[in-house]
Amino acid sequence: MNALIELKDVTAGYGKDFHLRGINIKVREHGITGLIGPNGSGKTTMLKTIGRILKPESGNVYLEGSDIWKMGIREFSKKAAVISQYIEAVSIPVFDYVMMGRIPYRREFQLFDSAEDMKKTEHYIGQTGIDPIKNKRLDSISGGEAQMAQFARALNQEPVLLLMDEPTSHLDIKHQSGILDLTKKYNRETGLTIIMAIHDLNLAAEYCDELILMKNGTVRYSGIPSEILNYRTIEEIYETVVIVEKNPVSHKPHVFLVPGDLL
Amino acid sequence: MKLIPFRNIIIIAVLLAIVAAAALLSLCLGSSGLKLSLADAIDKSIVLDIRLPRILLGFAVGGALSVAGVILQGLFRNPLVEPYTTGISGGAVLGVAICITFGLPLLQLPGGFLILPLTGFAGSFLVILLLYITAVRSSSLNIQNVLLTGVMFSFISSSLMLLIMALSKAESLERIILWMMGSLDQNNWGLIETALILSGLSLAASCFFAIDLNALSLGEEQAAHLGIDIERSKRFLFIIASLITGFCVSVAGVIGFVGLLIPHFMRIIAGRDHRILLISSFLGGSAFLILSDTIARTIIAPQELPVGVITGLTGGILFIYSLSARKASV
Repeated sequence: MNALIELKDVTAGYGKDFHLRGINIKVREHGITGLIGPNGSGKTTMLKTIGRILKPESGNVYLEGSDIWKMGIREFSKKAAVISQYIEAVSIPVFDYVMMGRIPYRREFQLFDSAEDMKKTEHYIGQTGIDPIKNKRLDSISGGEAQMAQFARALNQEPVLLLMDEPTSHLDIKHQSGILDLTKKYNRETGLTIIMAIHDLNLAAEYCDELILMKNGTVRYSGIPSEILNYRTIEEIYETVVIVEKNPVSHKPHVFLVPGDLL
Repeated sequence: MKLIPFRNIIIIAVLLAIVAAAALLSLCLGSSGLKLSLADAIDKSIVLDIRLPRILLGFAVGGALSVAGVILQGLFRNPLVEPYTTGISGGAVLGVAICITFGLPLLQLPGGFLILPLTGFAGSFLVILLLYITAVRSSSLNIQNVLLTGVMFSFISSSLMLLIMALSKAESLERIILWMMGSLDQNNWGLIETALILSGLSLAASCFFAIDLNALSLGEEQAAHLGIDIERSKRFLFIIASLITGFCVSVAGVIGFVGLLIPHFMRIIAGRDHRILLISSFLGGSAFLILSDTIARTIIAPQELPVGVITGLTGGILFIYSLSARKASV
């Protein structure tokens, strides 16, 4: 398998405070890779570094073999799209928001939307099932609908890489599985590579092909979920007592918390 | 916005009609009542040499100030930011006052009429720069900070204004006071032509950044993810906004709240897509300022009110209303 994203000796952070130290990872093409780890372990910083928001203090990030800081921001945004935890509740129609995914493809000084812009936008609105709400405004839809709108906007950028920062953290289980099922479907059907930071270890186990377990700005473990998610590793990283069993249907690892008063 | 923005064509057509109606009304209406005749020399002179220049200047300045408002609101992602409320006009007026007091002989030179606009631009640009640096320092463009800092800049520049006025001779004092109140009474055709050209150019230039402003409404990080070079866009937009404000202040003095009032209503009528918001705000601002000026020069005729009083009163009331109904307006 080829590496779509590669980080070499990356140190990055805000100001003098480094959140990531000496990161060396390869993320394989066409897979779903989950970034897991306790709060403050550097998951979001890692996504910002890969997403060309945070420039590494040292080291390089490569996308398809080329340094992301040597390609233009426009070129990068045609290859990588980002879905964040939530979107600003701006009072613009969902349709216009999804249309913004076409911005990287606009010609210089193109003021009006082309027929292709319209067609693609309609297409991805249909694919994500948000057709009924496309004329509603972003500030009047639910959190789950907003995440779907983000998904449609991201697909409209027609990327090879999709970065997701805690896409389900404030959704109910219906919408959690809704967005993750769609993510998986897209990954399987189109080969879209996905990197997501995700808090919930069980969702990570169910949906990710590979996991990268982080702590204190370094990568501690990486591999397939059944290797990573065992009680020893989790107790070591999270300092919490857990029991790991298998999901009876999917046979993926499932982490059970042991409450303090039962220890 | 749809492929063929039919609704937008209607909005622009209606606004153009309103601007034309306002201009026509202003052309006919004077202290001598409502009439338009070019029959004798005096009437002709009143219409062409007194009323027409004011209408043209009102068109340019009203439009340009609204565009500056839209740009600043887009950059700071807040509907309450505009040249006046953030002290940018204050900076421009300070630049102009310094120029009037200490550089008056320079203005007599050929092409000297451009010196005031340039000092106005320098003043407004300085305030925008300071505003942005302090806002960025306090992280993430916190709007309370921006507004507070803006108010502080207004205070500082008006204190400096008082200092300059204390040092000024009576002749320059009168000119400065006139500037502070805002007036469209300008008979330098060179300045009026420059104002028309510059406001048209600023509208065109800002339209090139309409998509960037749309993306910026989602936040800087989101805009960057959409491939917008935000540093470049912000730099250009800040320069456009301060150039406009500096120029408007140097020709027409401080005319407050146009940049707040007009974009506020246009967002309700035309929506938040900057491709339509910029042009509709320009037209709306033009019509508003032409009408305000008509009221200012006729309401207590034969005396005349400074137009800044009219825009300040209407705009100030809306500003307070908008602050109290913040949730709904953001």
